[in-house]
Amino acid sequence: VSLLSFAAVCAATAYCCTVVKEDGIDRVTSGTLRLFLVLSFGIAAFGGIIEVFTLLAG
Amino acid sequence: LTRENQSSRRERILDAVFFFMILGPALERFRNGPPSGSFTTAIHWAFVAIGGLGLFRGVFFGKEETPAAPAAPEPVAAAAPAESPPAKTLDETPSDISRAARWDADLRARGRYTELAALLAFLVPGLGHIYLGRRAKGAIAFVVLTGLFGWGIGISRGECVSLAVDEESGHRYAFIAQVGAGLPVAFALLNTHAYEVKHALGIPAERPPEVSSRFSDETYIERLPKLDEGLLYTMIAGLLNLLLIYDAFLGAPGGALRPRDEAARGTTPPLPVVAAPATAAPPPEPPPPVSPAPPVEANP
Repeated sequence: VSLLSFAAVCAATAYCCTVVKEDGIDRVTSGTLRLFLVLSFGIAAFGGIIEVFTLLAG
Repeated sequence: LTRENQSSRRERILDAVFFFMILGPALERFRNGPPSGSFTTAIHWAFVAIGGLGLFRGVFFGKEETPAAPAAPEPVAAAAPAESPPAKTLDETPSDISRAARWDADLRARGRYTELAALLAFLVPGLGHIYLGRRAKGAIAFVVLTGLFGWGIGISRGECVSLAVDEESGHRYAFIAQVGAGLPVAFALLNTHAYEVKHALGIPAERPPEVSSRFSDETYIERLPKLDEGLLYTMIAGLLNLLLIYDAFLGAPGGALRPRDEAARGTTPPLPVVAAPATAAPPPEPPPPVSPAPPVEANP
């Protein structure tokens, strides 16, 4: 459920941020997908690094 | 004021509102302390950082002023037509402000007002786009943002939207960000403060039990992560709706002009920044008359 909600938040963020920049269904779709991938993988990597440092510090 | 300066001023007002609202999650986090789990903390701060950086860039570096256009196109010397720079149309102007001005003018020509669209987009996410005729955009925005907000309300049992003055149940700073979602926030607030509303209207209502500290309740402590998640989702929904208000107000300011707007532009009065072409292209010369081929004589 947490992963699903994380993906949902990323998708909503990607859509809204793309809509401001692009128009046309094809450009909005491709832009949303691209930003969704960047956001989800980027934030997951960021969170993973924090987790690793937390584990090492603990 | 030219139309471009008006657009610039309106954009800056929106930027200021954005900048203020992004403080909500940060203040809420400072007041309540870090959420449970370092991963959740990282996600939270990543979203806040992305929003804050975007707003900082928009406020301080995002504006490119359009040079004032001449009132009338200057006549181009016929002797040196090749040296004069080609007149830029609005489509070629790099400024987002000009595009926003075109967006506004096109819609006004069709009897649609961007101010009303922004208000509708604030009240119900996506409604402003539907009003402007962009039904797909509006419908997706409605489903995405209302769904995200409803999800946050659902998993926190409606407790994440609260203006209570006590430190444990009130989330006043988060409300600064949540309020961007419009009417759904109002309904959630009415649900949270049902007793106070009924009491103010004189409707008999059962007073909620007094609790000395909610942190003495084990079930409440178990639900705290969900409450945190609900706070996060509702704040994100409120802030993302601001982007859609921006889009309805200024018309995808970072994007290209839409073909549909171009088609409807035949009824739009020309904007002042649009310069007339320097020289009219000469009409193409008519093709030389083709003489009919001489009849081929039959070979005797």
